[in-house]
Amino acid sequence: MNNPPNAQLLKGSLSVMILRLLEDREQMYGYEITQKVKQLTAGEMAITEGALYPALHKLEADGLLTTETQVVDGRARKYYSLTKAGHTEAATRLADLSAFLQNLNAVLNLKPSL
Amino acid sequence: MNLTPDQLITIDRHLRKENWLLNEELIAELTDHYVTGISDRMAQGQAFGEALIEVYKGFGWRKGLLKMEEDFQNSQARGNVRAIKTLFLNYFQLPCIGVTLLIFTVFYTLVLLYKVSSGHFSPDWLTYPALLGMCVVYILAFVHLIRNHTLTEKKKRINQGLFMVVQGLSSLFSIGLFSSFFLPITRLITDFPLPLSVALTLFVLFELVITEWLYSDLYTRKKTKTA
Repeated sequence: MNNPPNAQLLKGSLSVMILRLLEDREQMYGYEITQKVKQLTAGEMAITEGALYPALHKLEADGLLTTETQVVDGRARKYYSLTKAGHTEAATRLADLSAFLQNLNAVLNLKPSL
Repeated sequence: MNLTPDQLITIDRHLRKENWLLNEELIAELTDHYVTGISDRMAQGQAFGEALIEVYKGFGWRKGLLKMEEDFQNSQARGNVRAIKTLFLNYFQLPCIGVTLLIFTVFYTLVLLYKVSSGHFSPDWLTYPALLGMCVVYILAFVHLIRNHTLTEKKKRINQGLFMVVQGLSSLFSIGLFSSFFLPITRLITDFPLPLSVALTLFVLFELVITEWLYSDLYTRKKTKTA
């Protein structure tokens, strides 16, 4: 994550972002996820490797992601994809985050009382 | 942009020797990330060394990499417990509950048979079959060990699964044998046939689950190697 304020904001939503990206694409590998986020946000948001991989490993341990290793250019590449439980969890977390953002927006756009 | 063999060796040395990483699965994943990241940066005109440092920085230097390895191992352990728990619970749901009931019926019948005709059996009712079972299992394991030298890599991998089953059986017989020495088996059979049968069923189920889990893990690794 590129700067500290962004890092704090991203920390709680990183797993939702990963789940959403994997919902869109059938399977992705770590580097591909970092590049996709960079591309979607026109470079405004960058996920560091130090934050991405622990999040991926945690989601895998929780049974939300499954992995498949393929040999690409002579080296192993680990692809992540959503499990059945992951699809359900992605939908729930997205709905939760959307509701939270709406509420946050309402508070941030508060008009000063006369 | 493809990296040269020397550059690939540098990445490998960077992860293993300079940053003390040990977990092969994590090293493989990070190697792919380093190679892809560095190749992309080099395609944009960066030098190899500069690109390597930039990727390294993204991981949080050595401290970040070591923390990642620790977290990875914790996650793996948690994932393994979850997988074993899921497999175990499967044996109490359809269709696998049939296997559980079958194992329980076999044990309960044996226990009741012993109870009914306890006067006709010798006290070594459990010792001799357990000892015989252990001997057979150890002979099988020994034969397997000798044969393993002459097998091809592919057959070796298949045989590893068989070896795990043999190990499971071996521990089953060992526990049977040693418990016959130290536990009041006869009293347990005559006074508590039902709890004893349940305990034996759970033990066999646990062995089955561990074997199944090890086999599935082995199958995944095999699939990766042959992909």
